[in-house]
Amino acid sequence: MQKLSLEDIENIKKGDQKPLGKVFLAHYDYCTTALVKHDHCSLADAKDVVMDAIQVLNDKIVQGKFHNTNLQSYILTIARNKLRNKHKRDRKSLPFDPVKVENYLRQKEDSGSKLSESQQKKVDAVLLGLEKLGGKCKQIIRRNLYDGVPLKELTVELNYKDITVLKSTKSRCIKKLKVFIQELLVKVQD
Amino acid sequence: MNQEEWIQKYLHSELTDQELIEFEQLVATDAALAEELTIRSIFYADRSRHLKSELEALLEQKKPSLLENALAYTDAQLKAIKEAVNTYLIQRHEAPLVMMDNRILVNRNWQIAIVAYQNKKYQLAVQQLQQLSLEKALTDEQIFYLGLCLFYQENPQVEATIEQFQNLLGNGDSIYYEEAKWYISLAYLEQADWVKAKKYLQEIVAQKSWQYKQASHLLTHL
Repeated sequence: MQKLSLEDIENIKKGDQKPLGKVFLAHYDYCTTALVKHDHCSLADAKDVVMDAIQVLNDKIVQGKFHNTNLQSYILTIARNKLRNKHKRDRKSLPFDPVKVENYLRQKEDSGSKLSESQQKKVDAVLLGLEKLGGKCKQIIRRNLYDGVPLKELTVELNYKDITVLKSTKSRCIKKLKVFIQELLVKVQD
Repeated sequence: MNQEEWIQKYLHSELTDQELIEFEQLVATDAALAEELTIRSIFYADRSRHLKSELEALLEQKKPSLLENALAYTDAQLKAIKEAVNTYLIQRHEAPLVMMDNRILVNRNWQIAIVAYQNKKYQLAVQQLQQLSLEKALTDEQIFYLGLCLFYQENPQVEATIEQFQNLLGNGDSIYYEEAKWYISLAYLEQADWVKAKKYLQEIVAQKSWQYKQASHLLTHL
């Protein structure tokens, strides 16, 4: 499977992840072997960054930025970037490093994580806040900020007259989300 | 770059070192951007968690890769397997017999291939056998030696070796059936495909067929 069919691309845009699974299985062995052999990482790290690359591939397709090139080298290049970044990130001071957040979310039942306690509470509040939004707001925030679907495409998907209406609705929804997050954080402190 | 592009490039690990420093400065001085980045990073991580658990589930149904098989063994175990395989590979299989009276009837390519095999010129033997295969279907004996020569030559073609032995294994009546089973096991070991090698070696031992003691010895390493 060197290239994606137009049908697969359209399905991914609609949120169907099955074609991504096919791509992942088709290139997993090659990419992990190349990363372990040539980039000297562990198999666990190789597996992780190849999965990261699948997420990036998904985003690029959803955002209309994927030019149907050779999938194998595309995935490997992204995985290599992710691998390099894994080592770089510890030195950086940006808030809520997605890698750390993901570690926290995945190991929640087990041990602790590298996020501070207050950061963990914030992660929980943001995700709960999204759930609490409900209705149209939840749909807009989920598809745009969570799934990464551009507003232009979302205007059509959600049957908005034009993008400006959607933009102002989104802006109100974000405000609402922030209020919920604050409320949830205050509740936790009490 | 607009704010959206900065965030996307950051989440996708596409920022250069210089851009990352610049982005850090932007975030440090813009509270709204910092808050947006926080929410987006959390969403991104949560989506990643869900996607990864789906992909993990797919991997569980997939057979392990050769790399995963190899990584299940320690370096010492791998070395021991390699040495054991080499011990058996050094002992070259005896050359095909050609009765003196039959020489005149034997195809020229096959004759050259036999002499090449006797003189350990495996690549030349491969060329002759491949040439012969263009003219007519190879006999089981010729397929067997083609498999061996592909395996023995200076740069072994293990995939092609396996293909030849699989052809023989498809015919249970072949007089080279047992030999093919043994050599295909060695080929799979060479490829680090322990699962397939093990399957054939276990069959050899269970059926007490040719080289069953050697097969039993190899199994102790797997």
